[in-house]
Amino acid sequence: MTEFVAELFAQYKESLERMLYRRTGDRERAEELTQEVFARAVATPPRNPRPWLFAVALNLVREEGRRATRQGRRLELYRGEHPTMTATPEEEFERAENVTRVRAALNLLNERDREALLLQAEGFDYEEIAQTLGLAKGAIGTTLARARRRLVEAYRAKEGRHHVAS
Amino acid sequence: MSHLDEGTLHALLDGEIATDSVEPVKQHLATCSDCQQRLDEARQFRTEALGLVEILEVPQLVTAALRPQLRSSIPTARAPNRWSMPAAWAATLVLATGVGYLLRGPMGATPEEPVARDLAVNPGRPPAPVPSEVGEVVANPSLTRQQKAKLPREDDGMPKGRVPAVTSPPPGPPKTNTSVDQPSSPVVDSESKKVEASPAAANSVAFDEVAATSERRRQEQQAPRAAGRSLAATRASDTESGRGGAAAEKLDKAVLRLDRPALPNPADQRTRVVSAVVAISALGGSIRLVDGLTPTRFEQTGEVIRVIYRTGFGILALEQWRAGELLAHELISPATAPSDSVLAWEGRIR
Repeated sequence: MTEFVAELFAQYKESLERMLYRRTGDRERAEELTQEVFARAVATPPRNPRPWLFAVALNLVREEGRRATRQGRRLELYRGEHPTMTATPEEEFERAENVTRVRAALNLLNERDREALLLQAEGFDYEEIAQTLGLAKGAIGTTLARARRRLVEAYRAKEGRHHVAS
Repeated sequence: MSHLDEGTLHALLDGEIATDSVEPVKQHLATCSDCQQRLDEARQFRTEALGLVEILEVPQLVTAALRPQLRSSIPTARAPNRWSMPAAWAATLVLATGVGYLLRGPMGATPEEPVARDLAVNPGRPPAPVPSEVGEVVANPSLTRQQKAKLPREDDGMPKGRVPAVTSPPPGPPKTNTSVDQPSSPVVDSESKKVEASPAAANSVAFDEVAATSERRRQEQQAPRAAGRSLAATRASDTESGRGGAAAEKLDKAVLRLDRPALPNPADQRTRVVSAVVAISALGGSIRLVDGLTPTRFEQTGEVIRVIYRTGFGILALEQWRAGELLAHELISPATAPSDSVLAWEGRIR
């Protein structure tokens, strides 16, 4: 049974961690949650692994979101998005600003839209998104359409404000 | 057929329309310019949204992919690390000064003499501090790292306003020949040239060592019991065997001083508590933190930012400053902290 989960770990760990990072903005937390998801998979091996793993991960994030914001979370965000060492400070500053705008725009979406968008970015098809989020498959197109439009419009609005301010 | 709804258009773009439904949708699109226009718009939203999500990539640690860039960036802006100074530099320095002392002729009364004499009398000790004529600064070897941690950063003998810019060529070990006007022994001079010529190669070696150490730390953190020989033990044996050790650490300390930005204005030397935002801004938009610890406050002294943590062993400070394109840092640990804890903190700097 552990071998089965080990295979799942090898197959989905990176994707799961990336989705969780995008969802939380906290690399360390994403790693912890990924570990927790696979720990649960060991205890309760899933029959339909990919939707199950991502559903558990998103449930963990939601549970955490309901708790009081932990001290230092904002700093975690800064740390998680620490730039690489290849660009100039100006480029890094611009990049960090852009990441902040994207994240702010993403946070304006409702939970379901945001999660559908993140799952789709991980290569989930509509069937899998529906299973993971507990939605009807027929509703996924509409959900994604709304999520994409809102994300882009929110980002453009923030970008416009940024340019006006600067 | 009525107009296509937005969900259908996105499903079509995602290839999620059932095979038997695709044809009617396409036929409608062929005849309806309004839906065609909305399809183009949907395509744009889809592409742009995916691009935005992909901006949020998980930040990677320094990996093999970054090594070439790091190698090229090291010579112009070195990110000092307490253990990154190759022992070879220390050995070369000791060799250069020792040989210079032994072979010096009648012109032996050069500025490097105190260093050579000190080495000759106490071969096991690092060189004594030498007042520099060209801006090099040598750390006070009489102070331990822990003692230094308790001192204000600006008062440890660093000449104000004489520290080279951080974008200058990489700091080498403190040169024994400190004055260009003074003649020096040919042997010492050639050895000095050897020292000056070595940084690029030495940095390359240093990076490999750092990468190896980093990898070793990572493995130890992931499987501390399976790691076998601990890094602390490795360091201890390195010290015992003469690889690294106190001399290298002192030397590293001296180089760190060179990298640290100068504080020309006395008013800038005041240390003040600042907000996280101010600290990040002062460092050019990013900051290093120690994973797993929560900062208690941020301090600023000139261009140097200090992130303060309260640990079970006392105050831990992560000093950092912008060094060209890099964010240089130095961890100052409490005097009573065991080496394993210090290593763990250093390994968790992000």
